Amino acid sequence: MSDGRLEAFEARIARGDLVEADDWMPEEYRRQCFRLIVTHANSELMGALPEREWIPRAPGLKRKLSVLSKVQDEIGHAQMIYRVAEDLARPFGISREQMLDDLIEGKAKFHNVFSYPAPTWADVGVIAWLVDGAALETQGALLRTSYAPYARILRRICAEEAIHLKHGEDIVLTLASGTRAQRAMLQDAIQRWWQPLLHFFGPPDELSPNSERTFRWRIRTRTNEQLRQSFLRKYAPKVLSLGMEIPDPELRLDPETGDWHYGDPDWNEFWRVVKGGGARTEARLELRRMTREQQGWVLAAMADPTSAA
Amino acid sequence: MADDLTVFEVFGRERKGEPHRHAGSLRAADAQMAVVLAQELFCRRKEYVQIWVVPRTAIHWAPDGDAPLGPEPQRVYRIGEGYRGTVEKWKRFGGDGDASRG
Ligand SMILES: [Fe+2]
Ligand SMILES: [Fe+2]
Repeated sequence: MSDGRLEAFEARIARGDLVEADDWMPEEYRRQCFRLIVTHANSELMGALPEREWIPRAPGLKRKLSVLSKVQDEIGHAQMIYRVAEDLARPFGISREQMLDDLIEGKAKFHNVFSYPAPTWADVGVIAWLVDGAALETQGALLRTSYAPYARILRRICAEEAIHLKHGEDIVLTLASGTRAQRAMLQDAIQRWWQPLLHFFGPPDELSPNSERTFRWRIRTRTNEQLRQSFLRKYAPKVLSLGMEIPDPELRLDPETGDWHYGDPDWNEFWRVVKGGGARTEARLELRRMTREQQGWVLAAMADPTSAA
Repeated sequence: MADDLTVFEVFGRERKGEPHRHAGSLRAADAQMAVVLAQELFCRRKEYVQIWVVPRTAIHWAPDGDAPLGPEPQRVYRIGEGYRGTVEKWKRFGGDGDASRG
């Protein structure tokens, strides 16, 4: 089947060239990009839900406005990323509606962290600081992806994620310098989120032909483990400096390599959650279903403004 | 329903006097709705003083490849490099050869 196009494509990528939506690309490249990007879009959409639960309960107007604006940003991120995914998926005959259907039918993946409950205000702080911090590691690395439309939209998204992180940091620092009860609430939230945060980056990449191509084509440029280590280097010392405990007796810094050694994070739990078995997966998907149904008329009116009575 | 939506490319002017730059794209029923949505999506933090929305089908482009468009590099008469000799030539007239002083 070789007509030289694949070879030319690979040579381009090897030269550091970027791929635009209208360029020829191998079907496998398109498929891998699409899978990565639609999972990201789904995660932005589902990621807004745990925090959305806190809009009515946020302590004070200032915090309420921050959470509200973060939720609005995340939905905006979903909109922009689904748009990039749509262009990629057109040759596969997959529309945005199909992607949203797949999501609510439980057929599509999204990040593990959005399947966990956020029972206290400290969870909101930890999510915005550490989950957005983790997302910023992943997305920051993807700024160098070879698929240019994704990289471009990520520049805007990363700038907004950096603000989310500040908002989370502010909540966490306030709690950490608060009463004994506030510090205990923060400690509990860290207890709950630490393992999901290690899971966030995924298990160490196996050396499969698939992942070999992902890196050769520069769809991704850093491995799951590199991203996890980069996260640990930044955030483990910060959590500890707040006088908080990290629930991993094996966690320690290797002074030689600068890497953090961590205990077995129970990858079975990770797989259980990403396959739809998380504590809140079903409830949050149900909320998506309900929202899609109840707000369907808004979409319909926007799609045909002249028909709106 | 969604099949009726048009893809619009969004361009924003960051400061007065600057050219518009591509911001991203969105789907909308018509241009008016696209302008509303573009503000929702791309203007939450005072990023632009003006935005344009353009139906993607209105954009046309020249066939592109790896190299920048335009004449072959040896056609230097189109770029500054083709006139490097001016420095030497100015010296004949007592100039100090500072090319920037054309
Ligand atoms: Fe986001
Ligand atoms: Fe965020």
